[in-house]
Amino acid sequence: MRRPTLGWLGWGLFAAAALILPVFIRHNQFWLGTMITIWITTLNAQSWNVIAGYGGQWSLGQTVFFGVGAYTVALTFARLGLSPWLGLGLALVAAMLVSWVVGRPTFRLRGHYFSLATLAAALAFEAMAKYFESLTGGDFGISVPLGQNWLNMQWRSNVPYYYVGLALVLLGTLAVGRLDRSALGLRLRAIRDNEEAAESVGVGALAVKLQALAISACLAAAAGALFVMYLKFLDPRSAFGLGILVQTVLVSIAGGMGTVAGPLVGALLMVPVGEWTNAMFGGLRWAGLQYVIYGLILMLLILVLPDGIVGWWQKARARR
Amino acid sequence: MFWQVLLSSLLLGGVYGVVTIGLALIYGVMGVVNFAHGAFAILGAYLTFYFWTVSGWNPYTFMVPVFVVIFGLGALLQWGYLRFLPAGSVLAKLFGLLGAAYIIENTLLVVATADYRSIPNAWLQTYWSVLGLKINTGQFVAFCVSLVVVGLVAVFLQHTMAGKAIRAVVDDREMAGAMGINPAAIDILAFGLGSGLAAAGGVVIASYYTFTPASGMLFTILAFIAVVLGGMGSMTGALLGGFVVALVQNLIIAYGTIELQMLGLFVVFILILVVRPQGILGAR
Repeated sequence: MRRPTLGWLGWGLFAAAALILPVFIRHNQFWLGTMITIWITTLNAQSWNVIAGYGGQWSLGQTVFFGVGAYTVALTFARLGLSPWLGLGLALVAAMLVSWVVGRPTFRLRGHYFSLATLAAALAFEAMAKYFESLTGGDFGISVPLGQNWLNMQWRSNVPYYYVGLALVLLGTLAVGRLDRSALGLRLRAIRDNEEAAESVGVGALAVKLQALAISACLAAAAGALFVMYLKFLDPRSAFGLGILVQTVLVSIAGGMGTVAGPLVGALLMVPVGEWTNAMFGGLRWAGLQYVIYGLILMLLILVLPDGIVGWWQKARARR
Repeated sequence: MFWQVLLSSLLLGGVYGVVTIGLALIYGVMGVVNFAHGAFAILGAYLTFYFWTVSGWNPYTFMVPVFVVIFGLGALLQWGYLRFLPAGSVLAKLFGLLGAAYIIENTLLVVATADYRSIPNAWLQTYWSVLGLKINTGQFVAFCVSLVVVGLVAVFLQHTMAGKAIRAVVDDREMAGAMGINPAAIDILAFGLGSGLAAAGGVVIASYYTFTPASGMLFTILAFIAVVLGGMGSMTGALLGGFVVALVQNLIIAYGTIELQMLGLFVVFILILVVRPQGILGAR
């Protein structure tokens, strides 16, 4: 029996600390922005954690769901005038539908075949977002109509985004915590460890993987919805591009794959590194440097700490 | 129209072939999909671009130095990093290479910016016609250069000791080891050679394409699809796959729109994997 990493006490302390934090940083735009990015990244990493960490399906197409979530909110708001809160709900539904469309053909594949097919799916979605220009604004992107009103999910300060993000992170983590202990989670881990063996004892691998991908898609779509409302702008590259993917993979591996707390721990540690790099080498001249550093850390982590921080901690405790 | 598309696909497919056989070689020897393959190709294109900016010479003259530099870089990556990753985990290598691809792409972004680059090529402006089909001189030269590179690789693999050792490791790693071949050394050689081939393809690409740092990932996927189409690990198959990918791309561009080429390739990719997962030439 695996022991939980943090336990209810740990999560309670985290939630309490996270609830009071804005009192200290609400006037500090750098830290407030960093924290909101941490929430978005945690949701993305948690999404990847479900399908790759628990399911062993190393998808490179998670930006599909992030982008679909973001575009659903942006388009229903900008084109139809629907409240982003409603858009958030629609984004989850849209992402689940898309997860089936992407998952049904690609789940026939294993290993790096699956990884590359999902990566191709992400590029295909990016191409479509560029192609349907009259709807999405194409390469020029789409701006969210401005109007400070809680119904529009827009406020004078960024603090409410912090709390929306925190709420989504807590809900998402709770959902993954339930998955971790559920029958679905057990089947998912069985597929990760040995798909043939799992199928031979009656686990319907395809159905289980599709369910996991639907959950995973919801988490990424929530991240995308928060992302677009916070930045108020979206273009195909920021929605479906590789930038978010590598950050997500890095954060998940750093925190620990297949653990409930891993994505959060990874995001809390890794996002500030990127934000600091951005702040130090600000401006367009150094655009990309942040990602060079992410790439280096990713290569290093796979070499020295493949289980991630939480995974290493769990193993260390199990040995005691 | 159709025959014209077929002809330009043949010419383009030859260029892709240089990149795809590199990927197939690495996969055949190590069982790893080189995620940084397209990044190496585009790095080769940028090196060519800078050599050209400085000297103004024909881009093809930089084929050998670019190949050597990227060969060294690939060999270094295998020798200094990949061989230390857990042997059983293909996915660790995959994501390590994704990190490497990311470093290359974003270093290029910092150094060379996201601007589209191309090298003006007078040959691209001239055509000659055979049997009513127009042949672009620039594309034809690119095709011939690619054929020479592919031919050299074939000679190397068939007729040199090192080439034979590589093929032995592809066939049976343990047995090759028992025969006195050092598989670890072959890994370094193969990774260097495969990366160098990607860069050689990059030189050709630089001579008649526009590219940005982000083009790398596209080439990784194109090459991977070609290799899967041909049958993983089969060099001839990879060459053939290169032609099929070029054909699909050109058909989409001719009868549809260039923006949808990724979507079309994705659909073809999935179809092939469903209908014939072992590829065109692959054996079950």
